[in-house]
Amino acid sequence: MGGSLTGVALDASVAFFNPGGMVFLPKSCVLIGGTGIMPKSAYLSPLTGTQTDMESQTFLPFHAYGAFKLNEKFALGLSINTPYGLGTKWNKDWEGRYISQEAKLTSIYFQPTVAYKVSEKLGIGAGFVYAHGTASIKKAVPVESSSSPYGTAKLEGNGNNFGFNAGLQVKFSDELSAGISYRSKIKIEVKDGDAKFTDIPASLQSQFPSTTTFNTTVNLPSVLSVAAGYHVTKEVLIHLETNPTGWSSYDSLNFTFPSEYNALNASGKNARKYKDAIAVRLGVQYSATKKLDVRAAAAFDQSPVKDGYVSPDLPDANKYVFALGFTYKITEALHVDASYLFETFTERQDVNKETMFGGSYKTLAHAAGLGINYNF
Amino acid sequence: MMRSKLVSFFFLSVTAFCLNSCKPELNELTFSNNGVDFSNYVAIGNSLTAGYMDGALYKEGQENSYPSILAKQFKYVGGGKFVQPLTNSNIGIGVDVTTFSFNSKYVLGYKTSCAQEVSLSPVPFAATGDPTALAYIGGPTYNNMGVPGMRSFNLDSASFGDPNILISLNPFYSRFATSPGNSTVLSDAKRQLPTFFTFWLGSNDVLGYALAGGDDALDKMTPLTIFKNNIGDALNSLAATGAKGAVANIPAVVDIPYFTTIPYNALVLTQAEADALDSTYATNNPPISFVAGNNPFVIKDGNGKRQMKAGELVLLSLPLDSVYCAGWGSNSLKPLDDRYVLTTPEINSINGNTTQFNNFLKAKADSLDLAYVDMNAFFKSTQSGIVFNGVTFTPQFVSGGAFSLDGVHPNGKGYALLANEYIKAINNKYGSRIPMSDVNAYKGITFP
Repeated sequence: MGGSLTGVALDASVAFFNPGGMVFLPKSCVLIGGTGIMPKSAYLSPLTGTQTDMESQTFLPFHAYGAFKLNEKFALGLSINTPYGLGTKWNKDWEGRYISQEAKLTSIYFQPTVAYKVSEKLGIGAGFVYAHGTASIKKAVPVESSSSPYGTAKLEGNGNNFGFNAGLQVKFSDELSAGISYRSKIKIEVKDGDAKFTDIPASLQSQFPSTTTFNTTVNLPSVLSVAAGYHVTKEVLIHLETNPTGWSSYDSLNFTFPSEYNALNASGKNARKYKDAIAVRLGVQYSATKKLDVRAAAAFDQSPVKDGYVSPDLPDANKYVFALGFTYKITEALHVDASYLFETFTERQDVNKETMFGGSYKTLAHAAGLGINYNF
Repeated sequence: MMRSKLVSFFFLSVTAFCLNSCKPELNELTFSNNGVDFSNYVAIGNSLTAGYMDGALYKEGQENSYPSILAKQFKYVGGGKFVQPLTNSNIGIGVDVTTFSFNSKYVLGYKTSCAQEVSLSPVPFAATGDPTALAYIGGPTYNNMGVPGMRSFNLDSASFGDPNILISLNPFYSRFATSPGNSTVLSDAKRQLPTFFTFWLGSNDVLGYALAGGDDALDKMTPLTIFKNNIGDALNSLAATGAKGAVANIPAVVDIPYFTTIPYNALVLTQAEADALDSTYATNNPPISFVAGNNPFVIKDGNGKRQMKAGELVLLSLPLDSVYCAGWGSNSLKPLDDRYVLTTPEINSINGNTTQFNNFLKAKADSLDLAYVDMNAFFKSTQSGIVFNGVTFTPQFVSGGAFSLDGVHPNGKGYALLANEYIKAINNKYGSRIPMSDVNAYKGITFP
C-alpha cells in the first residue's frame, strides 16, 4: 500500500516485498498486473526564464507474483517485476543537450523464494534475485562541423547479476503483524555495450569512432523494509512501512571505452554521489463489502540526489505519493485490483557542480494500475 | 450504497487531481534592469569588441561579437536595436602583424609540413583578404564602435579615420566613420547619446608590443600617462552624459594561446643531432648544449644568442616548418628572431604595464560608478577550465573550444563567455537581473 507491502500478507505481492509473509496467506495465489505511468517533468531555464517540458513518455512496468503453499509449513514464491524503470527525454536541441538528451534504465527482477512457518506467529523466507538491467543514454558531443552544430553519442548496453533477499513476518495477534525484509544491492556490469557516435567531423572520427564498445557498472540499491499492519476493526487495516534504501552505492556513473579512445575515457566520468534515502508509506484498507476492498495511501519518498548533483537525466527531488485503489472480488477465487497513483516531486532548484547546469525542476507523475488475483 | 459512494469518490478524486495538477508549472523568472536604461547601448573597443576572430573581420564573426550577444541579453530588460557595421564578406579581411599584409579569415584545414606530415591546422580561407569588407558604409552611426587595432590614443583622433593620412589611418574605422578625417571613434559614439555603454580598450596598448615579440623596432607599449589621459578623458565625457556603463580591463598575455601554444622547449632532437649541434656552439657564451628529447630554442639575445628559459614564451607566429626543416632555433646561424619570442624581461615589462593600466581602469570605473569587468582574472580562471552547461572550455589552442584560430581572439562561444562576465559585473554593480547568454548556442570551431 503506497508502493510496498511488507508488514502483512494481503496478496501474492508479498512474494516480492517480504517472502516471510507467504506462509500467512490463506491460500496459494497469483497476482498479475501492470501499470501505466505518465511522468511529466518541466525545467525552468535561468537563461531564458521560461519553462521547457520534457517530452511525454508512458512507462509500462509489470509484475507477476505467485505464492504457492506447499503445506502448512512451507511456501514457494516467485516474483517477476520491473522495480527500476526510468526514462527521460528532452528535445534534442535543448540547452542541456550536452548533459542529456535521453536516458533510460530498465530492470527485470526474477526473485524465487522459499518460506517456512517457524511457528504460528513467525514466518521466514529467503531467496535469490536475478536482475537483468538495460541502460541507454543519448547526448550531444561538443564538436562542430559545417554540417552539424554538434555530434551525438548514443550508448546502449545491458547486464545482469544475482542478489539475495530475505524477510520475516511476525503475526503478534489477529490484529497486529509486522515484517522486516531486505533485498541486497545488485551490481549490474554492462560489458561491451554499443557506443555510437554520429555527426562527428571527419577529422575527429579517430577520437569519436562511429561504433565502439563501452563498459559501465550500475548499482541497483539495497532496500531494507520495516513495516507493521494493524486491524483497527475487522474492516479497517492500517499499514505503515519504511524503506531505507542504500542509494549511496551509486557514487558515480563512469563509461569506459577501449584504451585507444582515451579522450572519451576522460570525459566519461560522471559523479552521482547519491546518499542513502528513506521512504515512509502509510496505507489504509477498508473492506467496504464482502466483495469490495478500497484503499488509500500516502507516502513520502526522499530523494537520494544531493544538492549540487541534480541532473536533467534524472531530475529527482523529494516526492509525495497519493494513491487510491480497490479490489473487487468477482468470485471467491478471482479478484480484480485497480489503482490510481499521483506523485508530486517538490520543486527543486539546483546547479550541478560538475556540469554547471542549473535551473528549477518540477515533476508530476500519474499512474494507473490494473491487476488480477487468482486464489486457489 | 456504500460501495457506489466510494467508487464515485474515487473517480471524483482522480478527476480533481488531474485538473489541478496534470502538468507541472514553474513560475517564470522575471528579469529586471533595476532602473538602468539599456535602450541605446553603444560598445567601444578594439578588435575584441568588433567581433574579430580567426585572424579577420568577417560577417559571421561580427554576428558573434560580445556586444551583439550582450545586446540580445539586454533585450530581456528593455534593450533596443543594436546595429553593427557588418561587412558583407565571409572571406573577411585581417592584418597579419608579422608580414603587414591583408589576409582572409583562417579556417581549420589540413596542412602538410616540410616533413610531409599532414595535420589539422589553421589555413587561410582565401589567398588574400576581401577588400570589399573595407568598403565605406559610414553615414549612419553604429552601436558597435569596436575598431580592430585601436589603442587608447586613437580613440579621439580624427586622423585615425582619415584615408589621406596613411601613417595613422585605420581602415577598420575609416570604413564606418560618420565623417572620415573629421569624426573620431569617441565622437561617433557620443553622438548616438548612448544610455548604456561598454568600454574595453587598452589591450593593444600592451598587446601590440607583445604580438611583435617585444621587438621595440616593430611596436612599443603606450606610455602610462598617454594611456591615462586618453582613457580618462573618454570615460569622463561618456559618464558625464549620465549614461551607465561597464569598463573591462586587460587580460594577461600569458593567458592567451598565441603565447602559450608552442612550448619554450619544443625543439626535439635525437642524441646524434644534439651532439652535432653541440660542436657548433662550443665557444658560445653563455654555454649552449643539447640533449636527446626536448630542448629549449636558441634565440637572439642582444648581439649574442642563448637558449630559452622556462617561463619564456614562443609566439604562434613562429613558422614551425622553418624550425623543423631549416634549423630555426637550433642552427647556430639561425637563432630565433626577437619578434617570435617574449623573454623574461619583456614579459615582466608587459605584465608591469598591464597591472598599471588595469589599476587605472579600476580606479576610473569606481570613481565614475561604472561596472568593472575583471577580464584579467577571468582569463586566468579559464586556465583550469570553465564549464558551461556540460561543456568544458580551456584556453588551449583549437581544442580548448573558446579561442578562435588566430590564438588571440575568442570564437563566438568565447565571446559569449566574455558577454557573461559583463553581465555578472553589470548585475553586480547595478542590481539588475540580466540573464546569462547560452554560450553553446554560438559559433565555435568548425572542424573539417
